[in-house]
Amino acid sequence: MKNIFHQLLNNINTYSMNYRRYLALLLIIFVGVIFSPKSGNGSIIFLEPENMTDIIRQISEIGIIALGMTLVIISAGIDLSVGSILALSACVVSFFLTDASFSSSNVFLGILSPIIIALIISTIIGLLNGLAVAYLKIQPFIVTLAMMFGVRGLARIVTNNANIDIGFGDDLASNFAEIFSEKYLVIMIYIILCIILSVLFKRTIYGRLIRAIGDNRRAAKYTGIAIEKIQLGVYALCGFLAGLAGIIHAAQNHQGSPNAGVMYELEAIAAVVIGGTALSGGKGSISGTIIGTLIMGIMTNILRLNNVDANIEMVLKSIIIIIAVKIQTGRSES
Amino acid sequence: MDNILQLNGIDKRYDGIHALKSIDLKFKSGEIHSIIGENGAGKSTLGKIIYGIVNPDKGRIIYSEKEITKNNPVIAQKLGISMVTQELDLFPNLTLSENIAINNFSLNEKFIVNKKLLSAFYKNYIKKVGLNLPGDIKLGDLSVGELQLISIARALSFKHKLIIMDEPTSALTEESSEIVYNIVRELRKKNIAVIYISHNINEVLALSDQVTVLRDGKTVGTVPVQNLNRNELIKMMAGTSEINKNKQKMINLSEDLLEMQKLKTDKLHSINLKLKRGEILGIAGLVGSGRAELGNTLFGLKKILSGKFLINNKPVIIRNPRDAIKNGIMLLPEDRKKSGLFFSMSIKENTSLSILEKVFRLGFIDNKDELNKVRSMNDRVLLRYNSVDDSVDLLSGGNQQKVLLSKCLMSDPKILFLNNPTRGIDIKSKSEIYGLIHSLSKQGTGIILISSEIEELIDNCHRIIVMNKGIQSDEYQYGQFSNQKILHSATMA
Repeated sequence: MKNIFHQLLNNINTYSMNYRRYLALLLIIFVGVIFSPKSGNGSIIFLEPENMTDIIRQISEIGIIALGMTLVIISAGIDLSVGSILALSACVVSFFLTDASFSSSNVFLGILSPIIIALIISTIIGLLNGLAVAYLKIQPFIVTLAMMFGVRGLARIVTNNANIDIGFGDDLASNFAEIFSEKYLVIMIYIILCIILSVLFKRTIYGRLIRAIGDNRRAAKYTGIAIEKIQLGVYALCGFLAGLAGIIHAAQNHQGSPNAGVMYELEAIAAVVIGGTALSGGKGSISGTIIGTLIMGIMTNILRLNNVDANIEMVLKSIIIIIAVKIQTGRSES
Repeated sequence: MDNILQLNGIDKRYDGIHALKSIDLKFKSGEIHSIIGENGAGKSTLGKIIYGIVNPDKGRIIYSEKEITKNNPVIAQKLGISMVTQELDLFPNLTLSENIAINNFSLNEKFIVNKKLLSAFYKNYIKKVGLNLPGDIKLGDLSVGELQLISIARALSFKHKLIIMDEPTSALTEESSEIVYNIVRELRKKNIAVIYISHNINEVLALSDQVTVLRDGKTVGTVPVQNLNRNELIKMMAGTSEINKNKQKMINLSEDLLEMQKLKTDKLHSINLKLKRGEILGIAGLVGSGRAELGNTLFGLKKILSGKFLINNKPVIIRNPRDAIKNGIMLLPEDRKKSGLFFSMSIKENTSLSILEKVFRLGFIDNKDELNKVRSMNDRVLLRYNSVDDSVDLLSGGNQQKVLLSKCLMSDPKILFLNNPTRGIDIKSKSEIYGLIHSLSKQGTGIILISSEIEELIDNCHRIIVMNKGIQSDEYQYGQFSNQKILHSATMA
């Protein structure tokens, strides 16, 4: 009898936790519906499929970065260099796409190889972050803060401190820009990554071990977990995803700009935190981060639909982040 | 004598667990009032409610004839209530003297810390707990026992009328425990009310004026100590009067399993030690004698300066815990909170963590397989739980320890190093863990058992080595064990 009672209470608890996750999302959608302007035929613009898919396209860059950031944060780390990696990746891909000596007669190879180069460079930067954190035992905040400056500098060196415009002609670069600015492709990439990362986190050993090292590092050591290798992987993956976001960014903006992605690291961290992941490590989820990203995206969309001034938008954002985190995490640790 | 503290109908639930059920209790000044019960009985929760770390769901706390409506440790301290918690909440990055004086920093009435005052203050209190440590070192390298004494010293420095001690001797040797007992008696003389939380029947009978027994969050009764004896107390605690004292029998040990040859670290001096298959080797010694260091060295957590390990007569190199585990060694750490368990993870996840990489090579976790393995191991250690998906946070100390054991056993170790495996857990869990150790030994596992309770070693070991200041001071064979002799070897200067 007592056991049944316990079971019931547990179920209610888990139920309310799962439900809580969606509460803030539902709330913001509700707010969106209320404050949405109406189109000529009286339909709510916010709910139109065109607008909805726009939101997902807009969040995809931050969203992809936030996926990697989630794993880093759950491992009790942080990665401040992702915005700079995004810029470097965008610049590298634009550089090689527009470099005449590099161009290939094969369209497929000509587009693919710059992408691969950009991804490799991004992953290497992530690996360097990981090496410094795992083996030199320097605090992640400091390592990635330094990397944030350094990589931004590299991006400026690559582009000679100018923007590399792409996709304004009939060349490889414009093919590239056309393909990767296609709304539904971008959405597909984001959704597929969400699924892969979610499976990686929830169903594989790797995900479990990431949580373990973030939860109790000392106990992880006593358990014989290869803490260093896991950290290395997490930062490398985060770098890779930031690089991927950079490629999409270049295509969508038709340029590789060394000044792209400023503050993206903080937006990604905000999305992760709104999604209920604890900055102290050990606790969190990919699904939470996806919801967090959606909340941020919808919020921006509502404000833009109502032509709210960009500065006021920032102020409102700060308030909404606090409220969203409070709703998501519920009663915080006492 | 008036009641200094009165609890009326205190009720507390934690996520589905009814920790305290309508507790009514009275405490008097100048009295040592023990709260005894098995782990999970609600003892610590009760202490935390009085000190304001936890707030009750229902009930009234009446202190000096006034009701405390809003309580937290700051308010409690102002009212003259202090507590030595089991978690030993000290500050690892402050020095010893700062740790002890932390709540008295107003004593020089300036924001600048006066070093001389601080040092005098520190020396005064560290002496009382029988430690001789410089005040300017940090907590980092101290043992759990030393930390325990330091938190007691800190609590003594508060101006209090009521002091709560939660299992203050669970990490201490008998010698240091005696110091604590004297401190408690001293407090009684000064007309201070002491609430002494313990699971140790002997100390409760020797020390208390009043004894309250808790079981499953309910008071079984409050009895003056002169009307109590050991058996009655056990009966009240467990509902039965029998404890299974399964004394170890000598068996034939022949096969060599582990050998340490002239092992040296910064704290160990030339250790030569042999362990046979199926042997239970006890390690006695005071806190800081090098007994814990022995385990850490074997498990690859400490750098070896010279010497070597042999397993099955073959030399092995152990640089880190992974090497140790590969060679079939497993360590059960002394501090299950800091080095053992993952508190954001479930029972299942904690248990399977040590074998994930071995069993699920391809990377994906097979939930069914994991569940079966975890369930059968949890059954083997007699873990009591509602669901394997519950967080380990919700378990009692004894059950947390069993999860930790279960995690260790998952990797199927040939050599098991247990550092105080029964620290702070109830009698029933204790005897179950002993049973488990005996059955492992029968299956051929070599076990090294560290314990602060000499009785525990005498009852369970085939051989006992005593550590003293980093060397093996003595070795006792089965049949030669004696409490006095071992204590003497451990304390020889």
